[in-house]
Amino acid sequence: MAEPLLAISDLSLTYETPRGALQALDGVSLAVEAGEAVAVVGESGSGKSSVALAIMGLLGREAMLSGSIRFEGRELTGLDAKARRELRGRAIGMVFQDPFTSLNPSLTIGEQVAEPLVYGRDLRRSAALARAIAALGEVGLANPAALVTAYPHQLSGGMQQRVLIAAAVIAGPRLLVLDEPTTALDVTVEAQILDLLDGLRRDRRLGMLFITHNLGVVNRIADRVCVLYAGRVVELGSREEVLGSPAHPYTKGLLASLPRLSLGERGRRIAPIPGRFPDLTDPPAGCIFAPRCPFVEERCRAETQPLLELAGSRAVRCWKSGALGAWPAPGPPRAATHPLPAQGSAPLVAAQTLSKLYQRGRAGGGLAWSRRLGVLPWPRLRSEIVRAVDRLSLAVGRGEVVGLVGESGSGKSTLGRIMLRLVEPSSGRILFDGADITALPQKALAGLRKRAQIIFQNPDSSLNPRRRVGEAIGRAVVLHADGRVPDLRARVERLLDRVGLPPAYYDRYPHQLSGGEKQRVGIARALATGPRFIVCDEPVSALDVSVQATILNLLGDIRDELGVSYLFISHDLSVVAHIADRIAVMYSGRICEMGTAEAVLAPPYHPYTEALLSAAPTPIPGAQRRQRVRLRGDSAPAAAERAGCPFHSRCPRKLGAICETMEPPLLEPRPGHSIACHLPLAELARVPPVIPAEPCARACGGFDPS
Amino acid sequence: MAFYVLKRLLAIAAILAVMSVLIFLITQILPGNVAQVIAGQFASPETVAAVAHRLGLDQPLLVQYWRWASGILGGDLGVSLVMERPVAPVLFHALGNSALLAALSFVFVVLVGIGLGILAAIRHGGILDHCASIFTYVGISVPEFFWGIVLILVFARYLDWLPSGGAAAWGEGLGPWISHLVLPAATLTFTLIAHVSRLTRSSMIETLRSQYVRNARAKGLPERVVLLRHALRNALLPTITVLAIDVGWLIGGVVVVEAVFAYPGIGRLLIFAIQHHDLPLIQASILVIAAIYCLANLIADLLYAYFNPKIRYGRASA
Amino acid sequence: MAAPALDRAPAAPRRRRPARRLPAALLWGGAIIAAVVILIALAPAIAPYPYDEMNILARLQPPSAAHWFGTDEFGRDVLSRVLIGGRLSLIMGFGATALCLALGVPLGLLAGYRRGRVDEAIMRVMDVIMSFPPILLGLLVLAVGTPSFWKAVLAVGLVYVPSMVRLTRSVTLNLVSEEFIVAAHARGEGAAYILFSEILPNAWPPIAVEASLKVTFAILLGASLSFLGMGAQPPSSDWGLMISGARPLVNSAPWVALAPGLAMCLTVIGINLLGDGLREALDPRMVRAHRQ
Ligand code: SF4
Ligand code: SF4
Repeated sequence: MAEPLLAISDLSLTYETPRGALQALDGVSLAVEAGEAVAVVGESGSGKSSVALAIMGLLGREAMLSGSIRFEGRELTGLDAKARRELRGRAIGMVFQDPFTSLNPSLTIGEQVAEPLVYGRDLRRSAALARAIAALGEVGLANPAALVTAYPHQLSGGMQQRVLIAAAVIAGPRLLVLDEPTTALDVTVEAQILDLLDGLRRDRRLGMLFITHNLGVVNRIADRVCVLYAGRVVELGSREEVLGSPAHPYTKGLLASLPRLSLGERGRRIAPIPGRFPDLTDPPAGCIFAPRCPFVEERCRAETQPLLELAGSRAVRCWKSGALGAWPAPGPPRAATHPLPAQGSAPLVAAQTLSKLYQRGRAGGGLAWSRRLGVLPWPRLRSEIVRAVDRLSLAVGRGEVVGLVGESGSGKSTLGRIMLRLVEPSSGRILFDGADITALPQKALAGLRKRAQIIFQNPDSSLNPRRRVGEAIGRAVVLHADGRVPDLRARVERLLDRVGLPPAYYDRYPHQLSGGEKQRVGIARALATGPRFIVCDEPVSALDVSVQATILNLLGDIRDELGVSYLFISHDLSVVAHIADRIAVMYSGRICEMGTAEAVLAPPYHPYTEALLSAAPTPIPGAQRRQRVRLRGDSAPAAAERAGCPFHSRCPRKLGAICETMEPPLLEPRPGHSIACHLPLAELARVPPVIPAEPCARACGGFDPS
Repeated sequence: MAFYVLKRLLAIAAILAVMSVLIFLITQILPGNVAQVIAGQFASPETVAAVAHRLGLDQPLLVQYWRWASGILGGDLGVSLVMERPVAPVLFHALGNSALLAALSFVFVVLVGIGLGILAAIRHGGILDHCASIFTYVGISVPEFFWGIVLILVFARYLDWLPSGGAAAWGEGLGPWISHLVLPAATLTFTLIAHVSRLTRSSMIETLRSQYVRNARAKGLPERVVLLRHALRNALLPTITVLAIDVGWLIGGVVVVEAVFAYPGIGRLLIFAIQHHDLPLIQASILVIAAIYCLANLIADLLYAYFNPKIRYGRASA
Repeated sequence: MAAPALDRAPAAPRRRRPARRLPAALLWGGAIIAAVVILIALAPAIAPYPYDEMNILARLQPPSAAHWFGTDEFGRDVLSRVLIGGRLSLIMGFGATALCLALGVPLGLLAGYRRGRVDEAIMRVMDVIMSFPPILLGLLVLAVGTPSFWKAVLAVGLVYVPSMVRLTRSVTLNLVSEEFIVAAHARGEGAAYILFSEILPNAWPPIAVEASLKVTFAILLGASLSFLGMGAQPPSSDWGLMISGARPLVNSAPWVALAPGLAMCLTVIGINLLGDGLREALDPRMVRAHRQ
C-alpha cells in the first residue's frame, strides 16, 4: 500500500510545568491521504492545535516531542530547522484561526501573498505579484489587482481569511493544515469559506487537516474524523461512522450535548457530559474519560485503554465500545410550570421604535491633541453615523423567552443593553411593566435594577477577579434589601445551590473556577435581586459544547421554575431555537423577521433567515441541505447603503431598485409572524424548508428522541 | 494624511501659545522687583520707577504680554537684563553648541540603542541579552551628572586622554574640537541608550510573539526575512514614540551635562539666567527649548503616522 | 500494576493556582531597599560624626579608619553626610511619587470613567504640561522664589502627574467596558462604589509598577535639580548637592563625589529591581500559566 500523504504515529508531546510534566498529546496516530480532508475534533485543552503546530515544526523549544510524523514518506521529526522551513509553505501550508491578527498590519496584501514565492521559489517580485493577483482571484476575492496594494486593516474578516488562504496555497503545497479557520467568522461567512476550501481541495487534490471544535463544520467538510480528548485519540473513522453511529462514549456525549436546529427539539433538556476536564499533569489512571463516563466500570479505571481497531478504518479507545447503549437521556422534557401568557396581554418589557446612533470619529476635527502610545484617531472631515439600532420595536411577554439572533455587528448586544438602560437610546421608548422608563434619571431606576438583570458572554470578564464569589453575589442582595441582611451568607448559599454550585464556593475567587462555573456564578448574581426579566447576552458562546449544554439546561430550568422572561441574544440559531418561544432575526440594526420559533424555522422565510439557516452547520450526516443559499460579500452595509432594505447589499434574492430605495413592508404570513421584505408572500412561501422537520433518531448520537 | 499634518501643526501652535502665557505668568511672579535689580540695590524709588517705566514694567500685565509675544513673533526675543545685550544672538550661539552635542548623542542613541535592543530580543534569554540587561540596569540607574564625573575621573584625570570641560572653537582645529565633545556626548548617550534599548527589546519580543510572525514562519520564510521584514517594522513603531519621549530626557541631560563639563550651551545659559533673575533670557530660552521639544514630538508623530498604514490610509469604506 | 482506582468526585474543585515563585528581582530589590532604608533611618544614631561638623584640620582626607569615605573640603565626614543626606533622596523619591499618585490617580480615574468633556478637559491640560521637557518644567516651577528642597519635591511631583493620569485613564478605560462593571451598573451601583470598589482594586497593579519607576525618576530628577543648585541648599547633605559641591574637587579628592554617587546608584538600582520584580509578579502574561 502506498504511503499516505501525512502519517502521524504515536505522537506524544510533554511540557515541563511548575506542577510537573504536562502530557499535552499522548500516542496520537492519524493519516491524511492526498485529496482527503481529515478533521481533528476536540474541546479546548484537547491538544488539537498542538497537533497542527507539531506538523509545522512550530512548537516552542520547551516542547518535548516523541513519535513520528511522516510526510510523503519522509520523516519530519528529526529534520534540521532549514529542511523543516523549506517544507513549510511549499509542501505544507497552514491557515490560523484569527485572521485579524495573522496578517502583518504594515505590509500590503500583495506582498504577504507573494512572499512565499519570492523567498521560497526564488521568483522575481513582479512575477510573484502577478501570481498573487491570480491567487487572490482564485480564493474568490473581487478585484484582486486593486487588493494587492491594500493593507489588512482595510479588509473585512472574511476577506482577510481568504487572503490568508491564498498565501497558504500559493506556493503549491500538497497538504493544508487549518487551525479553526472559521471560528472567528460569522456563520454566513463561514459557509462561504468552507465552500472555498472544498473547492480548493477538489481542484488541487490538497490533503487537508482541519482542526475544529465544531461538529457541524466537521460534517460539512471532512471525509474522516479524529476525535481528540485530553491529548488522546478516542475515536477515528469516516464522517458517517463517527457522526452517525459514534462508538466512543465521549463522542456520543459530544453529539448528545449539542442543541439541534430542528423543530422537534424545542423544550427538551440536552444531555450534558458531567464533570470536568482532567488535569493533564495528573491524569486519571486507566481510561482518561472514566471520571466522566456514564458507562464506567471497575475495569475502565484499572486498565489503560489502547486504541482498538474496528472494522474498516475505524478505531476506538474503549474496550466496551461494542456493547454500549445510547448516551443516557437527560430526563423528561421540562414541565412548563409557567404557561405562556395569552396573546394580547400586556408585555413585561417593550422597546418602541428604538434607535441608537454612534458617531464614528470626531466631527469637524477640532483641535484634538492626541498623541503617543494610544490610538491616533484618523480625523474625518465628515464623521460617519453608525446606526447600531435602527427604529426597532420588540416586546417580551411575562415568562416568555425571546431569542434575538444576529451576526456580529448587528446591534443585538446594544439593543439588550438599551432595554436595561445600560446604554442610552438616541430615540424611541422603553416600557417596563407598562411604565415608561426611557427618560427616568439613573437614580430613579432602582425598581428596574432590581427587577431586570443581565448575564454576560465572557466568563473571564464578567466577574471581578479580586472579589470572592460570595461577595459578588451578596453585594447584589444587600444593595436591594431594606436595611441589613442578617442571613446573607445563607441566602447566597441558597443561590449557589440554585445554580448547582456547592456552598463552599462562597469563599472562592473567580480564577479558581472553570468557565462553566464562572457562568453559573454570573447567573446566581443576576438572580440575587429576584428579577422578572433577564437579558442573556450570548451566555453560552464562550463555552465548550459539553459545558454549554449544562448552562442551557440550567437557564431553561430557572425559567420554568421562576417564570422569568429572557431576552436571549445569540449568534447561534440552534441555541436560540432550543430555548426561545419567539425568535427575532436581526440584521444591521433592524429586525427582518419575527415570530414564534416554529414559524421562523419554517417557510416562508425572510431571505436573510433562509441564508442563516442554510449556512448553519449541523452534525447530522446525510442531512445535507438540498440547496445552499450563499450571501454576497461579508460586511455590514455602509451608511450610504442603508436606504431601503438594509439587507439589499448582500441579499441573494434582491428584486432590484425597489429594495435599494423603498423600505420593505411588513408581511404577516400568520398572526404574530412578520417578515420585512418586498418579495410577495406567495414567492417566499415557495421556498422548501431548510431544516428537516423531524430529526432522524439514528443521527442523534444514538439517543432516542421519543 | 495632509489633513492630519495640518491638524497637528495647528495643535502645536495652540500649545505654544498656551505655553507662552504660562511662561510669562510664572516668570512674572519671580521674586525681586526687576526694576530694582537693574537700578541697583541702593537706587532711590524715583530711579527705580524710571527704570520700570523705561522697561514698560508699570503697564498692565496684558499689555506687557502682548508686547513680549508680538516681539517674539517678529523675531525679537528681548534684551538680556544682566548682559544688556539682545537675547537672540546669545541664545542662538548657545543653542548651536547644544544642538551639536545633542544631535551627535542622538544619532549614537538611535543606532546603538535600537541595535542593542533588537539583538537582545533575538537572543532572548542568551548571554548577550543578560549582559545588555545588566548594562541597561546600570544605565537607567546612574544620574548623568555622576556618570559625567566618573568619566572625567577616568579619562581626564587618570588617563589624561581628554579635556575635562569647556568647548573648543573651530579655529583650534578638528582634534581639540572633537575631543571636547567626546566626554559630554558619551555621558549623554549612556542613559539614553539604556532606555531605548530596553524598550526596543520589549517591543521586539512582543512582536516576535505575535500571530503574524508565527504565520510568516508557517509560510516557510527564512528567519532573516521573518525578523527584518515582518517583526522589525512593527517593533520599531513604538520605538519612534519612545525616541520622542527621549528627546525630553535628552534636553534634561543637556542642561545637566553642560553644567558638569562647563560646556557653553543653552542649558548653562538657562541656569545662568535663573540664578541672575534675567527675565527676558529665562523666558526666551524656555520658550525656545519647549518649541524644539514640541517640534520633535511632531516629527515623531508624523513618522509614526507615515509608517503605520492604519493612519496613512485610514479605513476603507468597505 | 495499576493503583486501586480512586473515587473522583465528578466536580472536584479545580485546585488553587500553584503558589508562584517570587521573582528573583523582587527579592534582590527588596533586600537592597530594605538595607538602604534601615541604614538611612538609623543614620542619626549610627553616623560617626554630625553631618555638618567642620574640621579644618582634617580637610580632604582620603578614606581611612577614622573616616571610611574620607572628608570633604571643610573636613566634614563624607560617610556621615551620605547617611544623613540619603533621607532627602528618599523623601524626594517617595514624596514626589506620593504627590504624583495623589493627583494623578483620581484625575485619571475620573477622565477614564466619565469620558466625554471631563476627559477632554483633563487630558488637554495634561498635554500642555507634557509639552515641557521634564527638567524644564522643574526649573520653571523652581524659578519662582528662592529654591528650596520642598519646592523641588513639589516640582518633581508635578512633572510626573501627566504620565500617571494617562496610565490610570487608559487602565480605567479598559476596565470600564469589562462585563463585571456593566454588571455593577445593572444592579444600580453608584459611581463612587464602582470607581473605588470595582475599578481601583483592579487598576492598581500597573499603577504600582509605574509608581515604582516614578520613584527612581524622581530621585534622579531631584538630584539633578539639586546638582544645578535649584533644590536643597547648603549646608544640607543632599546627594545631588554633595556631588555638585565635589565637582571642582574631582581631581584632588574624588571620594567626595564618588561616595554619594554610588549610594544613589545602589538605591536606584534597588528600586528598579523591585519595580521589575513587581511587574513580573503582577503581570499575568509573564507568569508561566498552566497551559490549557
Ligand atoms: S473505557 Fe470505560 S470509562 Fe472509558 S470510555 Fe469506555 S466505558 Fe467509558
Ligand atoms: S426587501 Fe429586497 S433586498 Fe430586502 S430581503 Fe427582501 S428581496 Fe432582499
